[in-house]
Amino acid sequence: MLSLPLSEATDKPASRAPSRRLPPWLKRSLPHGNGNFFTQHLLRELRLETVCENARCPNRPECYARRTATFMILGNVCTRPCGFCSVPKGEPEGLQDDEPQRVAEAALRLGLRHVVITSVTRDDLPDGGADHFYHCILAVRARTGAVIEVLTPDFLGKTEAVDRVLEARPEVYNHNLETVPRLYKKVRGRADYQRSLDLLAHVKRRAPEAVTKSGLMLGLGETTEELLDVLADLRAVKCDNLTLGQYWGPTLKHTPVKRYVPPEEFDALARLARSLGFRQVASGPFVRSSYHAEEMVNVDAHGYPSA
Amino acid sequence: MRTDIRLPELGADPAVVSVWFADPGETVYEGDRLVEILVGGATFDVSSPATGRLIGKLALADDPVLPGQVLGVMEVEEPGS
Repeated sequence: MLSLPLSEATDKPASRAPSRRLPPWLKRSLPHGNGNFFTQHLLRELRLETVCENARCPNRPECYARRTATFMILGNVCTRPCGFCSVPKGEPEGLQDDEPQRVAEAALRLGLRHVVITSVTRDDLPDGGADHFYHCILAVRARTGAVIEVLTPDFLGKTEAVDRVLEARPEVYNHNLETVPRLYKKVRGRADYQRSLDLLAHVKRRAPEAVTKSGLMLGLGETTEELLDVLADLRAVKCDNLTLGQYWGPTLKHTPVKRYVPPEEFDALARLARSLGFRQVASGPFVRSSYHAEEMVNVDAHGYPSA
Repeated sequence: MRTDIRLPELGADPAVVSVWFADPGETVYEGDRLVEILVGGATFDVSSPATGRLIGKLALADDPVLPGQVLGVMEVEEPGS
């Protein structure tokens, strides 16, 4: 073997200690195949936003490689400065009337059978963008026949906005509580815990056939007791499905991670949540509200989701 | 023969080097995990592309890196040499 002085290769120092390392359970495999490029190029061609990219989701390589994505409608600028989220904040642009058709086209070309549609929060719009959700759901269903899951903002508690979304009969209605009430001010800024619970309760009352779903990020400083109280609150409003995942702190400017929750703790919480009556629970370090969302919906003999 | 150790396309960004698992001068084997890359809330391992000796690191811990970028260089023994 040749023996070369190290300085020939680089004038860098031999090593440097990393400023931080993640625990070993947050290791992912490198994505395989060309699905990643296919998905990325399709989304660019159709000028679509995804929460995968805007929220810098760590699952993006895996999901894109599986040719799936979570569409983020109503633009890529959010009107709320939540401390956990990396979606850009500021003055949003006007609505794009052809967005429903573009989302439907992407869902068709990706071959999706379960389509998740979310949005930035648009407190600047009178209906919070509910009518746009309605048209996106109808357009996707018309082109694909897919099961449709929406993940909506709280619409400032306007039930008429929620009702407009429900008119399009999404099979799954998701609204994330994100964290425990004590941490709302720091993490969710202008959101309100009770308002979010009321939204989920309203959905179940108005559309009992719809699967309701909510999710929380762990590692923000919540206690187990606080978390269990939230799960009980969710069951009290008959929330069907639950997701629990690790908060990861997109940048140093965001709310810091207080703790990395080990996988076995996620497993224990999942068992506990199921014992409380949740029909489907996804709980793990990489779980996000739409991660493997299609696996959380059972389809009955008629092809209709049954939670 | 010198071989570059490159960052593969991860489909996510921004990426930074987390830690190297070998130091210059050490022998590494094809498939060994060589560099840990931090992308968002997850890490990925870049494996050694061949068996040989690591001779230099071009990106160190906390350095931002891009797909295709050379992270380090290794000396690979050619067959029959």
